Amino acid sequence: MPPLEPTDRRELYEHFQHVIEGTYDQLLEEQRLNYKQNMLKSFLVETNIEPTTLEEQFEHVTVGEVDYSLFEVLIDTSSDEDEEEILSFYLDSQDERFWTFYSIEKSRPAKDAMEDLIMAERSGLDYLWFPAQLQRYFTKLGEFQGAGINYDAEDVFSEEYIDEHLPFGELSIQSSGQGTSWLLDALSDADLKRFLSLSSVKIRREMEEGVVIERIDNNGRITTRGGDDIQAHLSFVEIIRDLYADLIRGIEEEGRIGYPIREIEAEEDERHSSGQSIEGTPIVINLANSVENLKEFADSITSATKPLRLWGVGTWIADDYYKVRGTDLHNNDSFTLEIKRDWIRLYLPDDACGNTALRIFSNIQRYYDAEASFGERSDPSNSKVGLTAQ
Amino acid sequence: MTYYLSPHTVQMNAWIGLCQLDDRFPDTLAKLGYTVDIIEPGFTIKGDYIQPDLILTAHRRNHSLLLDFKSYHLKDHQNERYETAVRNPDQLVLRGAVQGVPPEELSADFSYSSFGDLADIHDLSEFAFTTVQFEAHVGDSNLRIEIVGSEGFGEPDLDDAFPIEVPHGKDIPTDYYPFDAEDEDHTQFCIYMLNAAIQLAGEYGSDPFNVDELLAESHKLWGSMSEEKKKELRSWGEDFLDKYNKKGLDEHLRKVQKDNQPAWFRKSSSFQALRNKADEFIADLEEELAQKKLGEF
Repeated sequence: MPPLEPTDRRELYEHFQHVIEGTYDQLLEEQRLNYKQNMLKSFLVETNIEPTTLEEQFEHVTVGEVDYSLFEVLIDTSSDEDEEEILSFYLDSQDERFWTFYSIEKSRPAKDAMEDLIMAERSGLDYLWFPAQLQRYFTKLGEFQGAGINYDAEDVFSEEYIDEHLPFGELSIQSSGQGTSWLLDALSDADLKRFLSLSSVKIRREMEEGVVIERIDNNGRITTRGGDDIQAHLSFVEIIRDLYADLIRGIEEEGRIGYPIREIEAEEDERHSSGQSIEGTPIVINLANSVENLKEFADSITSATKPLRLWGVGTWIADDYYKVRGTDLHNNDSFTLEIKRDWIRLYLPDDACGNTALRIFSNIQRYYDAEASFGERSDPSNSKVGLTAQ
Repeated sequence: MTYYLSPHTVQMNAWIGLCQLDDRFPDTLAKLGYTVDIIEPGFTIKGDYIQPDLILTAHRRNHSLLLDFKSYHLKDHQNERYETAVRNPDQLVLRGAVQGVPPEELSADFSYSSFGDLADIHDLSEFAFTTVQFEAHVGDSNLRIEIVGSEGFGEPDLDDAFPIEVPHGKDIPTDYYPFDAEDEDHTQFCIYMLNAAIQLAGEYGSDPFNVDELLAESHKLWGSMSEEKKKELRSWGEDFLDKYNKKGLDEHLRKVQKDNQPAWFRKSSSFQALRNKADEFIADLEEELAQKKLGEF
């Protein structure tokens, strides 16, 4: 395959077209890929910075403009491993808030390099955090072909907490082909369903432009496992992005709390002359898995570690009512959680990023309670995808 | 339900909560159209200064409810002033305390709100306003909010909405108004200040910030608080920062001078380490305070 040195979008997409076709043909014929012939991966990333600031923020990153809102981003990973390696990504920043990084590098190094960028302190970048309800919606966008289930309580909770309160520390299932739907249905009927958190779904989608087989991970990574047209992949990425953007907008419109200021007519002897009101409502997350130990649960999810990267300090506000006031280390937004055995109330300030809500929600689903749902009042009304219990 | 918060803070949050759409708290007043109009406004009517804790307004009803949270002691001159306000509702609009209603169309009610039965202690019969009492564990409910005494609200639908029962499985929100300058709220105060320190340190980098900036970040209503309350909280804030330094949290924040006043800026340290120290800080504080729990109310 020729080296990738595109001078504009068209050349980049032509190259991706070859990648998709090659991968597709090879998968069909040999059911495997040649060495160094990697699949096209698109990483959707939420951001509040400019592409060029990546270079200022990260010493090991170089950014060069290729075309209108298209950048080549080179990430030097030599500090991570002994061998020197520079990974190349193409950043499409047409949508200022939701970027797409494309890459045909090997899956693991590309994924790790993105994680290093996103998880850096106050990077201004965040993953997309797909709740289970959104992932289930993705399966309806095409012919459902496979699913991955990952329940990784070990990443968040201590060994003692898992021993005492949870049935698994880790649970992983991969399935593809016709039996996947049957398997998911069977598992969903069992008590296990509270621990079956979808980590990826695979679908085959026919679009006007052509066919693509896509694997969608729960953090915004979309891998093209085959297909015949790059435009079909680009359209699909756009659909996923728009669905997510609608959810975020809904949360930001309806799930944040503001304190507008109002002046009061002053007289000479008045002691103060302004007042404030309150607008907005907190988000309620209902839990199917009752929390046995409120303090340990709260401490675990606000310990400042990956994946949640939330810092917080908690106290009891009543005998069975725990509260944490915290800071989101991704973007420095404040948040408050009130936790009871069966629900959580989440308060976000009026300038907070809606992504914080989905990070907390989707991680609770993945690491604690796959059936966690938004309360009816908290469900974003403008979104095609509901986050309430199904 | 016994809350480890001051009666003022619990009542403030409960009344605000009743005006919001929250799955886990009754939305009784929101359904009637009431919204939080203004919190702790101070204004003058007919030459007298009044400062209710909260005004709720239902714009489609052209009606406002002024609330004052009390424990036991009432001052007669306050009663007279609140009565003047209720009798001259247009003045509420003309002074800017109520917004979005033509002055001549507004009607108003005033109520004391309390954990105890104020009507039992004070004879309010000569005044045309009511008292509302909060009571825990009544019948099947977690909390009951009811009118006590013989007076009711002038707005019939509002009157009919009481008593309001908070069933088990629901609970008051506590973040709208996180703390007041009352001893029972001291732990909450420190927790909000700890987080404000983390946030401002991140936001300001090496630019120092002072205690007022920490307070403004901790309490979103800081800007409109009375000077009296500000003074009290400012003194808590200075005390907090001294303790913060003594407990070793100064590994994260360094004290400097800014405009001849003490100020702080962030030093590097891991958030996990800071988190452990912050937990110790709160645990020590709670021990020191021998945290006062409210009696059953």
